[in-house]
Amino acid sequence: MVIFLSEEILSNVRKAILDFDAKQAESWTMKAVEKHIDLIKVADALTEAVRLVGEGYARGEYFLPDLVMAGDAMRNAMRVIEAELRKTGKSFETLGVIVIGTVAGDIHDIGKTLVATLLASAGFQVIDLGVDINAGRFVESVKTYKPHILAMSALLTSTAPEQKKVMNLLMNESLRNKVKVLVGGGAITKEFATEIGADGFAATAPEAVREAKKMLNIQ
Amino acid sequence: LFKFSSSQHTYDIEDIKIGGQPGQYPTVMMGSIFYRGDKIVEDEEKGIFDKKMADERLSVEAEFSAKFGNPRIVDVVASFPDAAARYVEYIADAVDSPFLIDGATEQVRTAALKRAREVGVINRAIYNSITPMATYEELRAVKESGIRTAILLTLNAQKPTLQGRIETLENLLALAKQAGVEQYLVDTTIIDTADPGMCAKICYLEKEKYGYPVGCGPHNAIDRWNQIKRLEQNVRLMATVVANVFPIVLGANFLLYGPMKNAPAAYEMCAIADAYISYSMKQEFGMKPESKIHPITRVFRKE
Repeated sequence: MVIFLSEEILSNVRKAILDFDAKQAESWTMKAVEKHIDLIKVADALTEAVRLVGEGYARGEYFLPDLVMAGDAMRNAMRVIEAELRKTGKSFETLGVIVIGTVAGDIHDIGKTLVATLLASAGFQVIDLGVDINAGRFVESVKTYKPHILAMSALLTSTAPEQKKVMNLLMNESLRNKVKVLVGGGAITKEFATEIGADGFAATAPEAVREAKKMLNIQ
Repeated sequence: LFKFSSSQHTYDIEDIKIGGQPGQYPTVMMGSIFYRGDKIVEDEEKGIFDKKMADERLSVEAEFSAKFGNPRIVDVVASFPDAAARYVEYIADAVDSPFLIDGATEQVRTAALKRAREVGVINRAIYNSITPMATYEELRAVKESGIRTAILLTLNAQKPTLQGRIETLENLLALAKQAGVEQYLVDTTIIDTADPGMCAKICYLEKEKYGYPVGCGPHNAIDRWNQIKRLEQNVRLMATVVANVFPIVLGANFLLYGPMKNAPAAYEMCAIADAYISYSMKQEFGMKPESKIHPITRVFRKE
């Protein structure tokens, strides 16, 4: 009976994500916590469902608003899990920590959020700084969170040079060899990424996940 | 077809009528020039371009606008402030029609605003666009420019759904009022391949609730699809037609049809859709177009 209930709850957690229903995702996750279901299993159910949406997006069966809403539902549920983890002092193993943001002068959010969602669904811990992030704040976040990867997005040709500024500041602060840098966004090309000395480049959100794994030698 | 039950706002922008019930006025066409990747641009930072080719583009578009009766508003796109100012100077001189101040960033758009005011064409300028992310500085610059009309972009990055875009409109209207804007054109914001149906429905819902002129750029959906999977030329053209027709049928008043070089196909397609709508409105409601020239009397003409 307990096993059945646990599976039923996990199934509803997954369903809430696939229905892009943030309230239900939060509510079923709270139920999972109440019933003392292993939090790793709950987190796995969440990420598996978002991964399915992400894969559907890559195949052209789901669309950008779907992925944003699925990611939003997952974040709602993850907040419940994180609060519970803080109470118990436990933590999850992740594939690595990634800090992500859109560069200064650029307020484009959707593409960056999409990448953050797919990275989280792949098992990375993602810290999303938001949009219009200047070089100083990117570098500060590297000092604070000590991420494995710093990911930057720039959609505009006029804001692409901001990525170079971040690279220079990382060098000046002697942090360049402490973090790998992944760049992307509408204005960024592979050639530009090479020119500024980034470690990785991705033209699409699914590519960003593959590239992040490659950069950290994850199979 | 149908009539909206709410009162409709119709604007007269330098003799171009925009808004109203389906079939009341022809769809206003908005084609882009100087956009990123436009081959006539030689230096996108300084705004150096091939004037002869730009003149030719504008002239071809004007010809199709006159042929079918769909008015035009030129979408002047820039990526850098100096370029924006230069493009505005050129367009102010090259056309009599209204034009959109369209730029990648706030700095670009406000540079164009400043120049439009300096050269005395702010009455013909339309700000593209006020977004939910508009800063206090941007709204102040818009207000100080004295511009009267703006496009309101229903971009809701946190909730880019039909409901989310509708919800963001109230906020946009408040921002536009803060910026001293008096006339609102609502862009329902195409962002992905499957958006045209949803954005067409948002056009309908906006008109039914608020009655402001509305439209969108369905070509963006096809451009994005083409980036993902290279489309055959005839498939791409047909897909563009289907995507563009959706909002027009559901009451859109303007169409951001994409690069101006596509004007010949875009105008003809839109004129056919406008003609079908007009004839249906006449049959069902006895409503005739209020514009002097309308595609219903142009597009099927034998000569």
